[in-house]
Amino acid sequence: MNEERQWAEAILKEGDEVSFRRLYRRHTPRLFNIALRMLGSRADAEDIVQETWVRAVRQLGRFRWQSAFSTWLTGIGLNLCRDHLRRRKRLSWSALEALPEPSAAAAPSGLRLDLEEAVQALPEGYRMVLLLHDLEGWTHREIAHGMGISEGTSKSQLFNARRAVKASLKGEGNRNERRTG
Amino acid sequence: MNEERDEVQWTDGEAEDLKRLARSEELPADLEDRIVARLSSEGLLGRRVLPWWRQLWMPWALAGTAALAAVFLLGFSLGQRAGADSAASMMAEVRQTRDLEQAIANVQRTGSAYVTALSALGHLSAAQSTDPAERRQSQEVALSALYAAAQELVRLDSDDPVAARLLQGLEAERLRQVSAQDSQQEPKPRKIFWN
Repeated sequence: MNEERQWAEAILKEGDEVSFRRLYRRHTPRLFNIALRMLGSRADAEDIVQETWVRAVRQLGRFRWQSAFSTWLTGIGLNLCRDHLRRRKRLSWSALEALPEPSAAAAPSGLRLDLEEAVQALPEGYRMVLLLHDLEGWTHREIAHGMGISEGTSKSQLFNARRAVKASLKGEGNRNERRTG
Repeated sequence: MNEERDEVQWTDGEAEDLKRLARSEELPADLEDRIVARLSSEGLLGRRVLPWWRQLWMPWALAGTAALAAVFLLGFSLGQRAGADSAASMMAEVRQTRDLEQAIANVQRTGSAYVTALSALGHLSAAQSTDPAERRQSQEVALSALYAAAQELVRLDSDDPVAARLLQGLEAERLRQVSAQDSQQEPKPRKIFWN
């Protein structure tokens, strides 16, 4: 039994706070980072992280340890991010398949964008897949399983996300060249 | 970046930027404590852990208590049933008596039972009731049986002075109670009837 599972057992059986803090410190930095990139707000990211841990501890007894704890935890966090974004009425995950072409997600002209801003400007569906795949190292299979979409959709979203980011950066570069030229 | 289409790849500079982007933001200092407090308030953390001997003791204690309760209820039920059966069989035996010796023995047994019941009534009346009306009712129950017995005793031997005096005293007490009730002029239904 790995140590994370032992900690989880201690939380379940004894409500052990020390074990919880160990799990928290191991996984929260990445969880917070994803939530922050997804939501673009530290306050919202904190709320999501808190709610994620509460749900995770509540559901800990149902986790079968057939996948990595971090994957399971991040899945909970991403679902909460998705709900949060839905409440903002920006995007419904079910509408991901019908997302516009990447050109529509490119940065508005006149704005200077670095990579971080370009990622932040992506539609949420693109951003989520890009963050999970390129920053967190998830496979398309894991993304598909965690997000409830097909692997093909995950691949398509990643392709479109990268193209949109590159288009944003390239467009900004062209604009800078025109200004200096 | 192993499964995506080949058309779009990051440049080295973009890959560096991505690595920088992937670096964790600094966590809010108090977030951990806030989450622990929330989990504790919901009873998910910080539950009291019983020592091993109490964890073992608790189920046994519960099982023992349940077993005792079951034995008590079983015994109580059997006792009630046996008592009822015993009284019923005693009454049947008394009615079917044809032999004088057996009749004497029956009087002795039922007399003992009466005294025992009277003793129990006295204990219960003293322990469970502070209401004078309830205590008076208990006394009337006991006296009514004694009165009926005295009547039978006089019938057995009309010249017996002890039986005559007992019946006389009980009759005087009965008349006094009737007179007291009549003077109050409250038509209370009587619960006890003298034979």
